Amino acid sequence: MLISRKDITMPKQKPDANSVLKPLALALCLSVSGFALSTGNAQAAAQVGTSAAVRGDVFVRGGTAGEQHRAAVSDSIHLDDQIVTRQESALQILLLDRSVFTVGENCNLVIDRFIYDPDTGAGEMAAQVAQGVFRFMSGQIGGNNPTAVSIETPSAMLGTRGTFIEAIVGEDAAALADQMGLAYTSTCGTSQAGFYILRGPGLNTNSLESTGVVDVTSTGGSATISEANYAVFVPCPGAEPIGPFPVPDNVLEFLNFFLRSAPNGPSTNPVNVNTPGGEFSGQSLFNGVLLDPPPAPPQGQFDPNTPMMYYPPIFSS
Amino acid sequence: MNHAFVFSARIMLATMLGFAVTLCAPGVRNAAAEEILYAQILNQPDNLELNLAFAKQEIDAGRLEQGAAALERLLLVEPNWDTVRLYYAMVLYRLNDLAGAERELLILRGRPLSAAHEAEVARYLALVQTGQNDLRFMAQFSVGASVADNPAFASSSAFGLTGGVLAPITTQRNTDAAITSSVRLRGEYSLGTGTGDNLFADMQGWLNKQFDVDEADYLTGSVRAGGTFYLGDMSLTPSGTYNAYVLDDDFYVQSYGGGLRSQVTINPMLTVFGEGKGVWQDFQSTTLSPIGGARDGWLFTAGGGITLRPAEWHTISAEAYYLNKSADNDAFSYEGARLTIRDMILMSLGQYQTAEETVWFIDYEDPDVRVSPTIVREDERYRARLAYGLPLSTAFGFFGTTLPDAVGSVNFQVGGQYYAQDSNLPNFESDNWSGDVSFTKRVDF
Repeated sequence: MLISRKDITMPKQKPDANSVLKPLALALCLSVSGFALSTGNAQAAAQVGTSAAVRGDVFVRGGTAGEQHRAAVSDSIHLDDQIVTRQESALQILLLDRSVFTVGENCNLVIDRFIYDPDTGAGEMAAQVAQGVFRFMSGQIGGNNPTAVSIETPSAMLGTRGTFIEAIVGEDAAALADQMGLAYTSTCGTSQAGFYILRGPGLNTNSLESTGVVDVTSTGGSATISEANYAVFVPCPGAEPIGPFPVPDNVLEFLNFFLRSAPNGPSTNPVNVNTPGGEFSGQSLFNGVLLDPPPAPPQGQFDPNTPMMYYPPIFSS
Repeated sequence: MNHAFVFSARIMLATMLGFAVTLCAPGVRNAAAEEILYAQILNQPDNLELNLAFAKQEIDAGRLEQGAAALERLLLVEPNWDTVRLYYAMVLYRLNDLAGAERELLILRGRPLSAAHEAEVARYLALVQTGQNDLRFMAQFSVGASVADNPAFASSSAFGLTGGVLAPITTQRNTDAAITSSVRLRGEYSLGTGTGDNLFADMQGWLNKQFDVDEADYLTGSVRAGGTFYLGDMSLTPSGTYNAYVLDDDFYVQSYGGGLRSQVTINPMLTVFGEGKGVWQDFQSTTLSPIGGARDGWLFTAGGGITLRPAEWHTISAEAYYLNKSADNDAFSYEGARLTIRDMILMSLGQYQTAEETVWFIDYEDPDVRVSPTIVREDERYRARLAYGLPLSTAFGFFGTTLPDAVGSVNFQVGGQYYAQDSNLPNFESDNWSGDVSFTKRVDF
């Protein structure tokens, strides 16, 4: 059963989330089960998310027909779509469960499993990243069940909890490891190496977000990162993960360059907002300096141990 | 004396006071604006105004990651939107992605910003850079004053016992003011394990100098050093402690020992902990207290509690400890319990209010023959405290005045406290009302 976004009529009033998401979630369940039962062309191209921001040359190759088109903002992203970015390009995908994938240049990504119930937030998600730079921020599925989200790269499987992670997959990862002088043995060349970094939330977050944890598992072993801005490097499939260690500056610069924007002209303020940063971000809530209460008196401090203090002299000891 | 009833009534009173202040607190619970649905963002991911409002909505709701993703999306579309880059940097700071926050703040340092935004960039850049050091320090210095109606805790009873004989007590309640000061220095060293493990040393000192009632003067200092080690959602903190207490210029007591605290994060809103500690207390004779070494002995405390954060701005904690003191003279050995409830509410612009209530139940082992050869002392001690504080920048901001950050970040606090002791021996019944003000400055380096 195929259900496309065109078939869902948006009400004239503000849309109710469930009226949009629920049929899509149902479609996903049907399409996935359909895929599980059939081996032919019965796989449905169910939507898993939307292209939220596009920069440069980003292509989406979709469905069994393998048709490729240039990605544009507000395009639907479907199950098993292959997302490919070229040089100096980036894409942010919003998934239906509020997960966010941001991919940088020369990235190859497929979301090959996505089941989501918007009422309960339960579901499953699996993605494969063959190469490139990406950031993943977990949403409802991972928030409700960390084991339900997995990202597979050539060298490792990533399991996340309430976190945002960044990764570099491929030759760039090996080059960065060499640049930082990391000692490792590679039996597979450099094209399948992976750098995996936990960005947050860190242990000292002042929010109610769960602190982030990422498990990096290969057939050679596993490593867990639970401190923000620590990294694990896996040189090859089957190699033991190296780390965690503090993410080196060269890796940070690489990630910043390909996953984050930088100003390229004069300052703008399209919506004319000038709220102080502390107020907008909520940080000002935490800017008071609480003082501990005075210490309680120790034992006996105020006991009348010297009777002449409190009694007439005839009763003094 | 019905301890349970009195304790319950006091808990209810403190809780009611806390909630009453909470309800009057401005800017905490505003009526919710019309909610922007995620489906709207899916439909219009490039609508700048909608996504900015969605980012604010998500941040206000505590969903910082969603807020960060929305701000990031805006910057992909409008990379020169410096105001949004500042907001993004500060959300990353709140998420403790200090490297991410630093990157954005360094970019902003070279951009044309308003004076207020420039000051925020400078302030938070200093915080994120020191926060990323393996070895970090925090220093806090406070100075203030207090007024108390019975600082020396003179007995409130007209008669007391001495050697078992009832006699008039010529107790004097003297209202007096005091200068107060405190310092704190904490150092933390990250072990680089990738799990947050660290070593720490924490030093605190308190000074209370009365104008007239010298017997209530005290100077106390403590040092605690140890480490925190994380095993998944559980942390273990073994530590050693040393404390010294000087009473009216006489060295009164020092204690040294150690303990172990275990904490488990059930979810971001609920934490539970258990703790055990043992310290050797070494008392000295003083002009006010000749008992001295008869009080020497081990004090063991064991207990636990929970911390509940129903909202980002609201923290409630409750703890209960068993106390066991074994002194050289059993007249000073005791068993008991200490129960504490704390409520902290953060309001806008760094304002906060705290309410705390502690009850001690202390049952001694043997009679103190100097007071009564037959009656074994039983005490119930009670402390209730309310405090309100805010940064000076907020206080002066109410009057339209902007302070430089070095002054504006100083915190002003006003507090009130009631301390009472009930006992089966009238000698030891007393209470004390006090109020205090303080100015506190914190520096991270």
